[in-house]
Amino acid sequence: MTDKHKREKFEQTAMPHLDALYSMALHLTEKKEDAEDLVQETYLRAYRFFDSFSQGTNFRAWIFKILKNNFINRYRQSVKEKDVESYDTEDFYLYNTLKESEDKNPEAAVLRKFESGEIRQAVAELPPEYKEALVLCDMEGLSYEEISHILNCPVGTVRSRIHRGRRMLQKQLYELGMQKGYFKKREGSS
Amino acid sequence: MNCDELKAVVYDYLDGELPAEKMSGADAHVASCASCENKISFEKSYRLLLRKSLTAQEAPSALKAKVRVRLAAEERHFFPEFLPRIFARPSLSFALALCLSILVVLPIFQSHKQPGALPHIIRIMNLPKKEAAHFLECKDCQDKIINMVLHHEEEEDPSHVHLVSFDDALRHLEKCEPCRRRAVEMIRAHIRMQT
Repeated sequence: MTDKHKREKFEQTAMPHLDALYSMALHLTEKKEDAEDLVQETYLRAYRFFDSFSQGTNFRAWIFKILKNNFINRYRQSVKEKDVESYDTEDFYLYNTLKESEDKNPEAAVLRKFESGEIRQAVAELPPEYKEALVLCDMEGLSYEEISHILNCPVGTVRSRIHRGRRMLQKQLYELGMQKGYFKKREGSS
Repeated sequence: MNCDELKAVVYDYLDGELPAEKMSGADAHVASCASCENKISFEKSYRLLLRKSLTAQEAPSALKAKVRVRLAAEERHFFPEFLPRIFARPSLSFALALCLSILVVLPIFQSHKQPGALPHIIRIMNLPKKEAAHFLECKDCQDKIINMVLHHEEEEDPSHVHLVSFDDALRHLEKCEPCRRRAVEMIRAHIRMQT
């Protein structure tokens, strides 16, 4: 394959993933400029190693893995580790807490009070390993198996990160909803 | 399936990760249990909102152009488009050649063609002189072997810095016997192919 053909084939395969990669990069770096740099580096690196990509296998998982590796190499060291234990909680935290405070089954409409930016901010505040797994699952709709390939960890670890990340996020959103006055205060609470 | 059994697998259920028989058991329970049905319905709405909020970030239009430009530059980084115009003017082409020699070529030669590079490769790779010399000169073999080392390092440790150079690859081969053996096979296969 000539260089020109290689590039054409690569662009044909890789460019449709640009929005998804940029979204993921933005979630990881939290800065537009860094996200753009990360995406460009990912494309260059994927292009250099395109010959080693096995045709017919999952290109999306492959290029996401490159993005994630690039992120680790460049940015992870500067990311402050967060205290995970302090905001872990139960499944269905939002539903259960709202049910308790409103004394009836909560309606999904209450969730629409959140603005997209508020939800993105809450996701951004999750510890990186939980955020990565959650975004790949809930935003990209990837399977646990694909995520395990990208994050280079067992499926069981992916499962536990996703589940735990969700519980943390629901607790954060509940607290944000209370601050913003989206939810009623529980009786007896100050 | 009852409420407690569903609770234990609820995220797998919502993510479509349950095996088919468990999935239909969970579906049947949700359809017959108002309490679980309410929870699942609320959770599905929550996820829809989450997905909508997280995916509404389109890449800037300029980014696509930047990526394409960098890929094109990568393809022809030794022969950029402006070079023919420069080579049309002897004084400029001489100046360019001089600058390249100083800035690019000399450091490359200094990196792995410095005196002692060949014995170093012979020792690390445990290769006869002729094969080691081939490795030192052959860009194809170097690329293939660097690529192999890179993939191995990525598999071993995803948090490792993966920008592998020729010297990094040699350091890896020095401590990794399986990679060294594969590298030797690659070099020998390439030499056989050429002769």
